[in-house]
Amino acid sequence: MFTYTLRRLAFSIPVLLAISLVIFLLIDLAPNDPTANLPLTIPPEIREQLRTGLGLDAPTHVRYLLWCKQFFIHEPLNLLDGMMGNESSRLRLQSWSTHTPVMELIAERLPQTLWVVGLSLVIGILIALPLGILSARHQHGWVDQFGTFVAMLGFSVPSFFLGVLMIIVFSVKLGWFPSIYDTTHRVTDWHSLGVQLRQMVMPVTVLALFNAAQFSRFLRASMLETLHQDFIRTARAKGMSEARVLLRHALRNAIGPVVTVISLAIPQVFAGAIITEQVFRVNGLGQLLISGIQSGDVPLVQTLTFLFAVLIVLFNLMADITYGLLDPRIRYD
Amino acid sequence: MMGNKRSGWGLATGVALSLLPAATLAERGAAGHLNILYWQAPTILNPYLSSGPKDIEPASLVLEPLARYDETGNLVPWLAADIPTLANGGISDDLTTITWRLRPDLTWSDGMNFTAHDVVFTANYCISSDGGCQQAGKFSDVTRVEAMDDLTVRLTFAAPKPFPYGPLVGVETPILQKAQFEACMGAGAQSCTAQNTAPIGTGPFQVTDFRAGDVVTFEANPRYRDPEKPGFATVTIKGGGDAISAARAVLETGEMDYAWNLQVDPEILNTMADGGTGQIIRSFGTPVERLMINRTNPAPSLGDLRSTLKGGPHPFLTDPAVLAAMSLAIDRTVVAELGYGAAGKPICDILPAPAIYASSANDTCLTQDIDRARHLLDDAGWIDSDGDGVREKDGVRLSVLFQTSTNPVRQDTQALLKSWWAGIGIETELRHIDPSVFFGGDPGSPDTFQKFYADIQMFTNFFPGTDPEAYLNNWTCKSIPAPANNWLGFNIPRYCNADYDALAAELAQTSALEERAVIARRMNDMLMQAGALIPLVHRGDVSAISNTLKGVRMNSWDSELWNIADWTRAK
Repeated sequence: MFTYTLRRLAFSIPVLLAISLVIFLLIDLAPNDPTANLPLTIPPEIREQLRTGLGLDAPTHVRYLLWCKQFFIHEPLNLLDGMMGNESSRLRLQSWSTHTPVMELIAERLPQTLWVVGLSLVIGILIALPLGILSARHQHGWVDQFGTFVAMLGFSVPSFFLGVLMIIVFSVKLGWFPSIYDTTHRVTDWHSLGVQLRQMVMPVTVLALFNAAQFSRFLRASMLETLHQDFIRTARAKGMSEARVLLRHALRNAIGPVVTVISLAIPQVFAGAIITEQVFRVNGLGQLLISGIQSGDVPLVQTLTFLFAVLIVLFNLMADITYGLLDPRIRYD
Repeated sequence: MMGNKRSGWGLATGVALSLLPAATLAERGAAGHLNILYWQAPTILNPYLSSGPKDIEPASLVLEPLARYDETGNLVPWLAADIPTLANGGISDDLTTITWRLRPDLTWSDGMNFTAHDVVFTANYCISSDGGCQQAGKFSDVTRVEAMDDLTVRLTFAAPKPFPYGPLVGVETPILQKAQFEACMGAGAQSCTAQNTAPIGTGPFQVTDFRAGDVVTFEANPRYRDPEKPGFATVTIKGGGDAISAARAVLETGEMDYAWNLQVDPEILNTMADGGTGQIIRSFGTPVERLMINRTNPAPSLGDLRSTLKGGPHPFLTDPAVLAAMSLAIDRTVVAELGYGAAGKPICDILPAPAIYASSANDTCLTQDIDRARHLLDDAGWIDSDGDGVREKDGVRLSVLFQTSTNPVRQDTQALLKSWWAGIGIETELRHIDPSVFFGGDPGSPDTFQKFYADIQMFTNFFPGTDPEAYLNNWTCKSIPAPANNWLGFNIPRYCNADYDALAAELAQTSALEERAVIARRMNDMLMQAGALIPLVHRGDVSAISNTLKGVRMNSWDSELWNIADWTRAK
């Protein structure tokens, strides 16, 4: 298993390099202009100067190599310097629209994204596990019907609709929850924790509903398949308790595909939730990415998408390894 | 003369304003916390590195210019002691220099003295910043900036400037602190993160926390020049989301006190305004939605000569009767209400504001008069002789191709105009073009607004600041787009009149504001009477404020937050 992991890790390096090149070329070929959003009153010659100032006049390969140098060499060294407490003067990856280092922007946005999107993933799993198991156990029973209804709702109602609906009901009409997420809020005591929870309720609910819908459907299908197999009948015949049959024998065999789905969903947490973040003004990584795209901020978009690619490659590997740990029949060596 | 009068007024209002809050709230910061929503989030607080209103307006809480515009478009001295004019000697007789005298005893929020050297530094910061300064256009004619003493700055221009209030005036070009930004000259400008996100200023507030693209928090500047202001102790400017939900946060949930730039469907906005927690405020700058009439012939048979002066005049759109009838057939009130709601009002002038430039000579167009329009066409000999509903004369049918950019409001307006024109016997074919192509200016595309391969087109144009000279120059003969100048130029109707050009030349030599206004109004009237452009709607800025917020004077000429020091909360 260890050599397998090493081999996969080594193989992911060329894969990631290729991905970074593809991302760069895609962004570069797309018609975007960082000066396009400026007011019409800025004359064309000044726009041209601004583009030159951003280094856009250099040929494509030079700009790509510069990004590689800044991302793979300067940023890690800066991080190291930062940990040692030294001041570093290396050229950092700068966002074009904010003129701040991209890494600082990401660090600023990470907390709210992890809080909101991460928590919605956890809650989604907590809902999906019992719902999926019970739906399969009592197929066509009321729990199953309810689960199917929730899943249909989660899949088919778009977050921009559900989010706005919740704002109108719970913020405008009832006044229970704030419609605007305050990212500067600090949790220091019970009261401020309450404020934090209240402002998270609506975005987390919207996102958790989708996650729960997705995971519970996978788990239900997988459990149904397992529950009809012979070894389950054997376990029941041996007189095992129903809980033991379900959790030890069925779930352990059925969880494999669900673990894969969940581990592939984790990188999505870091990618944020573009629409839900926009609706509730959470302003996390998803909003950062979309505003970067809108303003033609190439270094920001390139770095963010590449980091997502890294996470997806890593979690793919993690999924494979967990699969092996959960199912002793699978061995990669 | 003007300057004296105006500074007198400024003094009078200043006294009145400082007395008013003194009676109710004598203390700085007594109004507590203020929540402002800019749904396009601020990403930087240095106006020289970003010219978007989302950045420069939040920056105006901290950074201030020498002079700025009030809500009527009048120049008021801000960090300067008065407005330099020819009469008070602030502008040299040859119109090539302007000398600003600064208010004495001003300090930056960090306690340093504010001097002429900061002003000189700011100008040089923009001029020498290796292509990074987005306001460089404001300084394009400036050849020298010098500090005569600690409180006097002189700017020298390359050519006579009858209106020299461009650089260092208004929200776009405020004064930076030399001590803070000294290390950020030239190439260094880009990496000065701390300076760009938390500039030290002279304004009523200072930055406490800045998160790019998300939120900025401010606290009252303890060294602000008026000890009783600002009324609020802290301010949060939150960003993100969209205009509709921003309106909701003020008008329905009351979470926010002020929401900016609410370009929302008028029906939705009006419904929200019934929410009871806030109200809609608006102000009007210079944008006018207008029809441009092609005075040259766009017939495809002309090939390369289409829509050029060389191709000859338009077969019927130079006939004053046709143009007058088309304008009379339009009910501008309906167009404004349907498409723009609170953000629009009917207009008959291409130069609608500031107030001194607004002509009243063309106001008859405000009332729709179909009968008179028909009458005009009958009298001019345009008769529907073959009974197909379209008038003709000498074999020429009154049939127009009417194009604009793809945008729901514009398509509604097109449909309305088509039905009205059909009512007076003019046939209209409608066309709309993707905005990125229409406004894209690609000389290779036949569909750009400059090429104008159609009879009539519609869009909005405006001018920045308050001086209309450059805007009015758009309709001189030399500004006509043509193959020779690569289709550049804003004289879209291809209007060419020696009298108009003579007035433009006269405007370039006139410095006194009243005289400039007289010439500008005459130029506007000349364009309107020729029918080269048919104005439709004066488009305004729309914001929403909480019912408890007092002192807001919505401004289209400067930052909307320009007088935030005076804002307070009603008890």
